[in-house]
Amino acid sequence: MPTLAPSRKKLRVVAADFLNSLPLTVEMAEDELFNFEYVIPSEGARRMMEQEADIALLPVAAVAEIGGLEVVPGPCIGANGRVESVVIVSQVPLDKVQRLLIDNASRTSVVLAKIFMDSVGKGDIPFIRMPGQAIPANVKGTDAGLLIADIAFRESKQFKYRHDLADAWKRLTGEPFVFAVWAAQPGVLTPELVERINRRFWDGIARKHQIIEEWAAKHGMPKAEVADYLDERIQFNLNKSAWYGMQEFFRLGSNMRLLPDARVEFATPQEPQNGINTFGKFVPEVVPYSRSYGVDRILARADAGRRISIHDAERLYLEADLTDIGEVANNIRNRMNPGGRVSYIIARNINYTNVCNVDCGFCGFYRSDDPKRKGHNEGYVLTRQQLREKMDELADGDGVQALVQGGVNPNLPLEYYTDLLRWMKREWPQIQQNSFSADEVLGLCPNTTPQEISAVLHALRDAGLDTFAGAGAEILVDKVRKRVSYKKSRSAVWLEVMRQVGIMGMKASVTMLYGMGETTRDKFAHMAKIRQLQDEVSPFMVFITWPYQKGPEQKIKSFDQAGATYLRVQGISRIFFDNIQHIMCSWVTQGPDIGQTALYYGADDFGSVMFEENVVSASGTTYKMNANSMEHCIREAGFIPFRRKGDFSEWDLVEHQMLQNTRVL
Amino acid sequence: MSSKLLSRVRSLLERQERIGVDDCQELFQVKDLAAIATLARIPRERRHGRNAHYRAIVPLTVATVDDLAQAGGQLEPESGAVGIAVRPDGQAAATLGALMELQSAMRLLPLPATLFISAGIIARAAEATGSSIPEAVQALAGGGGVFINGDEAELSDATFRTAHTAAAIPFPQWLAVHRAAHAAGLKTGASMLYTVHDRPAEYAAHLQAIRQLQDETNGFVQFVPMGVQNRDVAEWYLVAPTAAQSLRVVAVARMFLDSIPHIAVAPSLITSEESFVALSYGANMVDSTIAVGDVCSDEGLGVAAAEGASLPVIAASTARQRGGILPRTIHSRIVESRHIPVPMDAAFGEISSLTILAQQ
Repeated sequence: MPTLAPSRKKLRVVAADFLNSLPLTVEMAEDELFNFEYVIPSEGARRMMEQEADIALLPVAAVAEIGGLEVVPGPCIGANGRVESVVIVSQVPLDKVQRLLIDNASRTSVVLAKIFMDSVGKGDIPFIRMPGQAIPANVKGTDAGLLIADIAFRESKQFKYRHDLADAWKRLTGEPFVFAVWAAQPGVLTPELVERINRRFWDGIARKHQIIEEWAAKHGMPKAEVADYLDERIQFNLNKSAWYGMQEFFRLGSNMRLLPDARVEFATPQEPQNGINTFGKFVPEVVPYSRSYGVDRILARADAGRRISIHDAERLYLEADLTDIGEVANNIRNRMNPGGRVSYIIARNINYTNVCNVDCGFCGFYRSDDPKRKGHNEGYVLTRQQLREKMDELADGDGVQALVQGGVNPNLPLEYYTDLLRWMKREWPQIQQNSFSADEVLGLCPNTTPQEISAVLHALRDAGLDTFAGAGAEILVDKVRKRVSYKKSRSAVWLEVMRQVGIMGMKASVTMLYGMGETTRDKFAHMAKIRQLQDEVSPFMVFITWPYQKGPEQKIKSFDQAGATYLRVQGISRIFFDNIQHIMCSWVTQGPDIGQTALYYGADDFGSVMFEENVVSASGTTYKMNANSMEHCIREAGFIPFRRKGDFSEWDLVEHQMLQNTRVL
Repeated sequence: MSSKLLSRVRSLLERQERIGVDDCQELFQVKDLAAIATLARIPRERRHGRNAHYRAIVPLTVATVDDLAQAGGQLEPESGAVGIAVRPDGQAAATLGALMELQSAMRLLPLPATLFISAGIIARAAEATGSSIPEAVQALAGGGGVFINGDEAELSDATFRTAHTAAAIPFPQWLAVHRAAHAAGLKTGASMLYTVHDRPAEYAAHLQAIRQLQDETNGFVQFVPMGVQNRDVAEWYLVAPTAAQSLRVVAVARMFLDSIPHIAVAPSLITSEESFVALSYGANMVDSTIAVGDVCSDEGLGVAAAEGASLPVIAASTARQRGGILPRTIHSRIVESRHIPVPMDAAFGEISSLTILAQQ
């Protein structure tokens, strides 16, 4: 037997244990070459995105989102016509439908649904996210619902109108629809490995009867129905027609700006002859990604409005010229925020407490609540009088926003926060509250359930929270978070807080703190998670990034500190985030010079004048600017400065004074 | 106007033809920095590709020969440095004899040393000694290990010099020192002072004067734009150029000074971070031998004083990164900015990167 894999540990392989995937996976799971694990599709996508898996049976939307993966020719999960497991249902004809209820668990199905709705002239209706199990009960009146997998089998027949999306795709394009393929990290697949995966697939097909019997018994389904699904509905061959169908899906998804501009590289078991390999399977003639798709092309496509993948972003970060990134970022910035205007705000940070029980290794600001820890006696909670002085100073300077933020202080209950917000709103009605981080909210949620998070956020909003600051994202990759802040929320929990912010219609800012030894992939996996959440529930108004500032007290070593790297990361963020309107530069950490230069790298907001800042300055970074110096920097860079409010609308003196006069005495 | 100008300049640069003084003046007025950067990359990449140069030497300012001996004894081996730039000040720069004595004493330093002096120092030392400028230059050249940097070039405009840089030698004299140095076989540096108030006509005229001398002697090896520095005041932005102004000057200099090999930026002047960004705006060299004191000026302070009273000063100061930057740090920052580091000795001779990396 030839060498099948690089001489390292077993290859990490993941796949979902859905009925339609079992013929592809049942033999793989028993192969000693692989460290195989069944996971839900989103977890499989995460592991491939964060390079924690080598091979995955991956939904095609994730293949496009990650980019740069190699696809195994031969097997796939597809449908050449009616599939019955991805269905749009309603009680009214499509032309009467006003909203589509979706479950974001399957991004491929959601993108397919959007393509379908667009094809029937309903592309502009809102898509409302909710748990898949809740969708059937909510499909009433003019609402339609997207039903997936078991729910589709079980529930779709009760609805008057049913649209099978694989069938619709076939009618639309004339090609099969491909739901998932085996995809591998670049360089993993050898010809022998491709052959092995194909052999395991055919061995799995040979066990189809066993799969049908076991599935029917386990799920209480009629065997005939299971057999019909596997035999008649699912197409397992990635043949020429399916390949074109997949390409068409990528093309339409990209045209509609739902998917990155995907280029899929195939691993070929051997040189195909007339497009047919040794298995008699179609092997598409493709030029390898790395040869066909240089950074110039990535930039040109991005400049034309195409979404870029994680792999594209990595290549820009590693290979592209800085000013080329700047040029495209600037063009996109001008499209998203036309008029050559740059906003800034008069706001102040109010760090109400430095007591924190999260112990982030990169933070020089916090003091532990543990009496045994060094610096414990330096912990503080600001008094109302101290807060009043700070707010009065802000109000006297025509300030419009307070960023109330502190440590995760276990001694402060929810009532402390709601009382604080109500008091501030009552005393300074003209000042908007853009406050708190996800971890401060989570500190008030012992069980961290979505319902609990939502309840806390609602309480804060009802008490006067206007927008959510949303700091503390750091890097949303758990292996990084565990290393630099092991007690902080894991990425999924942080994202859940932001999901709840979006669901309740509140707006937030989102950040990235890089330079703590994370990989290039980690940086863009972070951005991808944010972009995906923004696609789902749109919580974010603005993205801000900056490098970790190492001070004398921090234990974490710093990396990627160059100003050129900052501009590169910010420029790519403007290109990457086609769904977040504003990019704020971080002059606070970078200084006025790089801050000004950042305006040529996609930033349309200069941030805030600085009355007071305690967190970054705890690391020794002490840049300060006033409104005049900000306006000078903006003008000198060729832009028009304007003062904004917390929601990015233009500040108006008359309105400001009217609000000021509504103060309750 | 701007698009026609940019198109015309691009065409000239692509054909490797010179841009004129009028175009140069107009380029200083273009606000679209991205467009300027794109143009500057044409001559920058043609000449240097992705290479970014730096001199792996550390500066040492001394007021007397005794200072040198003392400093030499205390000198820690600088990580990555292959030489020392000795910058005479005060008594050590007062006469030709003092300078030559310094040259002799430099041989005792633990690393190869080069005397870094300005045209002004030479002119004043020559005058104090009763020598002519060519004689002074010849004498220093004979002592070996000397580099005449671009200090005191300021701006060629006589009105500006009288108003703002009266202590510097007259510009014709500055040119005369460099002409004599080139005739003596020395390579020298040139510079230009730029200010918070853009002076396109003065800048273009100054660059033209430098280009003309280079056409005549081919002795300039480096050009360094020097922004007026005075950041330790609340209204710094009224007295010091912003990053956009600095990058524009760098880019236009690269386009106009087609015959000078290296366009350098000084981390001490435009911050260390911005200097590596400038590598994408026409600069190909990061020069850490320039001290901030070289270009401090009170130009513009009158404006700040006049307007300052009405300004709501929230910020107390703007700290700038003025600390020394070691060769190994320059090396790694160049790599991080996606350029290829090319270390050089004091005489602009390329040395192996291994020489720098081996010392880390």
